[in-house]
Amino acid sequence: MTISGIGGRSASHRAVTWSLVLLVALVVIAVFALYSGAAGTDSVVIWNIRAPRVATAAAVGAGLAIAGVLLQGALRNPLADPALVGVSAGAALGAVVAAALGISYNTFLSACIAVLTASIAIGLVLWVASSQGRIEVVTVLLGGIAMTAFAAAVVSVIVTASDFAGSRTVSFWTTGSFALANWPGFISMVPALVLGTAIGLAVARPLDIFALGDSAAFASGVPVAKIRIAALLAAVLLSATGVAVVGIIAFVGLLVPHAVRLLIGPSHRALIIVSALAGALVLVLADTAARLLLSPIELPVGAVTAIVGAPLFLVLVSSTRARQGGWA
Amino acid sequence: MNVELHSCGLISKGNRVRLNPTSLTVASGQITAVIGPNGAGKSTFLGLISGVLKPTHGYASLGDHVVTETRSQTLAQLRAVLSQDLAQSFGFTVYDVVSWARTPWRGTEHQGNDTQAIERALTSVGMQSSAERPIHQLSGGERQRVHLARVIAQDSPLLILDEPDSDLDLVGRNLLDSVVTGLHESGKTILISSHDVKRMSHIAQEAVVVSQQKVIYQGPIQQAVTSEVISEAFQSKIRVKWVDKPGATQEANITMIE
Repeated sequence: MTISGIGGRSASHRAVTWSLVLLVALVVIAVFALYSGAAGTDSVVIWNIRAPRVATAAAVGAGLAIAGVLLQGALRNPLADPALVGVSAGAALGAVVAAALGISYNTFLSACIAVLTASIAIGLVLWVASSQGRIEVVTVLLGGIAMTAFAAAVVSVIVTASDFAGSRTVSFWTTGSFALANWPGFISMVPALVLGTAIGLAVARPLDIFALGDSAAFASGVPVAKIRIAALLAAVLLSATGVAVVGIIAFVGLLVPHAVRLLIGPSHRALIIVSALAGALVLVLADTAARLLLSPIELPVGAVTAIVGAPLFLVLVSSTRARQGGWA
Repeated sequence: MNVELHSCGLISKGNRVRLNPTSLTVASGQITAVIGPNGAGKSTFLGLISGVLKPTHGYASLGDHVVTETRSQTLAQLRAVLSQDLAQSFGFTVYDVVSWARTPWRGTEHQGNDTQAIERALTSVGMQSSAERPIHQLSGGERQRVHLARVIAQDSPLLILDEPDSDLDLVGRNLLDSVVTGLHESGKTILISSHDVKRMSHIAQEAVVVSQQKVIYQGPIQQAVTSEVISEAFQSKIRVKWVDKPGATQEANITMIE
């Protein structure tokens, strides 16, 4: 008699199917994005302007989505997202401070400093939100609000008071834009994305077991604190480097994992892979819409994601609340 | 494997005593019932042995391992824990949840037994036909059985069961008792806490009685479950009478006086 894995197999079949569907959609949209726009189809425009922009959108989207999966799993908090827990604002502050110190944007060093300040930001938020070894769902979000308000204020002071900002205005940082994407910027993100994804996949199975709660996960042999720190570090690597290049784009890291969970179930390994593709697709799509909808005027991409994302966030809050019967 | 407390206790901040320092050895290969009123310190006692709680005084040991100094994977090879504060595990199947118990055996020679251990555990609690159901669709009692299967599948020599009967109906309790008895027969050491002193008197050989943050008695259950000890533990007048049961076993009848 065997009773193993019927559901497990069908879940992984669904993950493979959705990966292929999303990959094909991503390629189609990317090709469309490369060949459309006011500047025509000159090959210099395509390879030096649109291609790095599409690549950056895909990389940032994938990074934010995986970061959302890892934050939600590591904190067992369905409302966690890099922008909501203070990671993104911390990263933006790092990139701006680095620029004030003379470190150019879109460089590896700028990305490193963003990772450092984003780590400090989430460290402080979690320190505030921890009580007797428990991390409270709502306190994390409140800490994130305070951290984001503070970091965004410092960013706006530095950007307003200095002359190095150039096109990176306050609203560039707070709503995000791919308009300044270039190949060096894309390349500055790659090492952190690769490392963050590798760590994420390595902690995927222990993160599944986190669903039992901390003490039962520990009793099952999971080194809970180590796995949590590794997952949070990976989330920071995956989101902070993107923020340093394109500013803060909210809701992608929150909503993409939830949508993907509905499609393929809660297993983190599949969730990481499929969410990466879905996140990439969402941001390439959003940026193409931002570029083309009111062409030649360009919309801020963060506004596009927020207009779609914020109402969905409310739906999510309400359904999570109904399921849990309140907040812990 | 010797399970021992060495002047082991937990007094948390603000001088709140959760368990006064205690030294004892848990009877190897036996079922030990942990008995006492609500809030007496039963869960703290079990938590210190399992390593879920860290003692402020002394230490607990499993064989040669000091609990708080042992890696979580090694610890999970030595003991399995069924606790009361389980999260929902939303979306995972029964099979997924039971399979998590095999984590400590990853990368060891026992990993090959995973499928067999999971199937056997599910069958022993009568949940084999529900393997593919999402766990959040089960009733509280069914979920409790899945988690019992999970700790069985972990296949460690020591099982620590903290009120495993809390969500179970009459049939579920009978199943639990026969599963626990079966585990005992296969050589496991079992620590089980419960409010049901009568049932414990039937299945356990040993007892640890906890009252007001102290272990007040440890030894054979016939000597623990007496009018004196139980009255002291529950701070009430309670009469205990051992009666013969069919099959050459005994159980304690327990009556409140007044």
